[in-house]
Amino acid sequence: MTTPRIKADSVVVEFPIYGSQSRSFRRTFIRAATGGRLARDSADRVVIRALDGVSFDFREGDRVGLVGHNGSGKSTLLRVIAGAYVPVAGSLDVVGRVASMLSITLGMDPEATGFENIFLRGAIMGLSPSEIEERVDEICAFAELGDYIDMPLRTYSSGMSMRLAFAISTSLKADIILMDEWLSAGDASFTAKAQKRLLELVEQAKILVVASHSPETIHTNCNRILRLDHGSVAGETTLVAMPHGTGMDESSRLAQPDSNARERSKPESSVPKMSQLSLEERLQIWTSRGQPSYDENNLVTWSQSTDFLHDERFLAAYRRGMASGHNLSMFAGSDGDLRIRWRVAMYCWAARHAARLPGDFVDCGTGTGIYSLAVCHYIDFNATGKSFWLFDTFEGIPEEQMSDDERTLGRADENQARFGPCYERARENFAPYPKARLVRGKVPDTLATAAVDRVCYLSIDMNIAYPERAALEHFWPRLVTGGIAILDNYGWLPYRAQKAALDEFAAQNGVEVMMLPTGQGLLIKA
Amino acid sequence: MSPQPTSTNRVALALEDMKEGLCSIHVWPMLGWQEIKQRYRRSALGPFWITLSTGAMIGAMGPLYGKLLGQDFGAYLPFLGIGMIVWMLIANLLNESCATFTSASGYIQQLKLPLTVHVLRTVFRNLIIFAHHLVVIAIVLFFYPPKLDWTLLLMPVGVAFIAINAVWLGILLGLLSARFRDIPQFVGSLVPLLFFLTPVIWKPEMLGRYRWAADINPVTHFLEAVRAPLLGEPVSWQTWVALTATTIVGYTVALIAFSRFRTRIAYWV
Repeated sequence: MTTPRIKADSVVVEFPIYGSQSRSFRRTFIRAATGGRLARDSADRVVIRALDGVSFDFREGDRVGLVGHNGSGKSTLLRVIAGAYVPVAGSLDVVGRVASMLSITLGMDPEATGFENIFLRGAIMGLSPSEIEERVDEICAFAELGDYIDMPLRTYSSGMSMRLAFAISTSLKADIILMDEWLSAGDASFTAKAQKRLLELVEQAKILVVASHSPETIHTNCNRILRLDHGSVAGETTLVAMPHGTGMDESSRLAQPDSNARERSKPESSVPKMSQLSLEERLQIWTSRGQPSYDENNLVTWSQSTDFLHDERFLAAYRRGMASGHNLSMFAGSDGDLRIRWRVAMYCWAARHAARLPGDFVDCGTGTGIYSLAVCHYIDFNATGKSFWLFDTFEGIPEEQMSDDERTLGRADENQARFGPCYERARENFAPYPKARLVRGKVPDTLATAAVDRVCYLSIDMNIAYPERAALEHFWPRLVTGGIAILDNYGWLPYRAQKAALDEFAAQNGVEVMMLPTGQGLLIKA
Repeated sequence: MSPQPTSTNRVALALEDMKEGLCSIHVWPMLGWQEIKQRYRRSALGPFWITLSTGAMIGAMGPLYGKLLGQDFGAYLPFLGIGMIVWMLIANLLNESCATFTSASGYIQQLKLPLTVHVLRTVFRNLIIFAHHLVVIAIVLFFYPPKLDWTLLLMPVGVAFIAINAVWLGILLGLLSARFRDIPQFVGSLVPLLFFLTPVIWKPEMLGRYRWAADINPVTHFLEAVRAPLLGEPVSWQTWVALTATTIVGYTVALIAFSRFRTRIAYWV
């Protein structure tokens, strides 16, 4: 039996454009913003060069992700592999049975019944009637259409017809699977089942080629990334050692930078191991993901939901915090936005949670009130009837409380550059909140002066270890059940002295600080 | 697949396409049937609507043209009826061949199906519709029975010739129409003209010494090969020669064009 393989050598695909007897097209290449290059062929016709000298060698075990912007040639390449288009130049060898899932509804007739459509679609996929007969019961069962299977397709909901199309198209085992975007089908309950079936199908296939704009799809399912740009291969990345041959082939130009890379990665694993990649490779992967959904404050993500960025209530609160008159912006001419939305969102969530508990709010390290103003605005603090205790020197970090290590890590410089007297400003900021009490002076000295018995919300952000630990020691016993403490600098490496001190306290009290991706630490009183 | 296929290689690939297409016996008949079903879905009479209208037309034209041309009614009505039905098959094949590939662009651009499948689908569909219309012929022949003898057996041979030639016609017209979008319009205007140039309502012998004008028209012979056996008349040897020649020339030209441009069709449709 021959081994499935897709080998392309300088494949060129040109679409002739008729009926555009173009005055404007010169005898030159015109580079469009997207799409293939416009050119003239030897007969002086205008053509779109959709693929321009594409070469690759996909072998058994390859899970290839095609990436690139719209019009970069991904779909054309899939159709070439499917055998629909024959390249005008170059050569393409496809060995193995191909299952093309480029258009899973192709051949289906809305007037025909679901049952008839199984045979129609099956024939288009190259199945004989007897082969379809073998699968028909399984397809009907999987599509969960019940008696609808004998009704015309036009009576189906879009979810039902997708389910049927999906069930038919995924019923055929193949050596090579082609997909234009990862298939999904139907409603939420069906999706899980459908994904399982698709993954099983992909699992048994020798080669997968999927074009996708979704970074998750590529990174979950692929071990090779082929990036197309204007119909040419703009880059190729191999994410893990290939199970075949020597592990690496010459075409993966950016693959595994060092020689012992193969030993580190297990060949049977198909999960990409980012940690094994060079920075350059990672940059390429990151670039392939397109616009991040969040990119602020050392936190970048492409896949996580960032709905809070569209929550107007949150954004208004955030703006209030940023407009507190702080002097923390690193760059001249800044609008005051520190680009720390996710961090502020953590405080707002904690405040909303705490507002329903007995006890007061406490903020150690208020400054001008960046976080606490946002919190007050977000939960409409006056309506809670609680007091908000705001502890700070209101003139920076006390030099004598800094350890030598912290001085080396830049606390003193930070103090000089960013924290100045801000008591008046803070008072003004919190004037709309009569029960917000500013306690001026050094923590922990001031803690005893304030009559705070029960605390439901505790924010600690004093940038050095000594007062932070003291504050936590003081307030932890006063934190009510379910009360939340957020430790702002906890996970940030330049503030590691704080983490050590706070971890020590936590260990002594039998708790563990939750490390948030934002760099904050989180404790909830049990 | 070598980058620049040699011409022999191309011919081999084109023949392979035709062979594979022909062997896809579970694809093109189904697609053809599906199209008919699609066209007449939820219509009670379905394709018989055309049968009815054709029957009515023959019923009306028979007496009229019989009178105009001074023909004996009993002999003329079967002649006209059969002629009309066979003509409709030929005319539809001519017209629909143009859309063979363009109407299947969705399939062609996404799948690796032999292109011949789409040609066979068109031919099959028209043969099915023709079969419906045989009812009209049966009725006409019931009322005006011809002298039936062994020549009747030649009728399927005539139909087979039409079907076989429709394949190369479909390849050639389909290919040309995909590339030049004026072809369907051209053929569309040519077919009604051809109707009058072909002995459907008139008989070739009416031309007297100009009979050659009917004989050089290949459509005349396709028509004759089906009509004459049904009327109990002999089919002339010239007709068989003409049909064989048309078949050979047609396939040669179509194969040359198909070999040369087969891989371009996906780009054109």
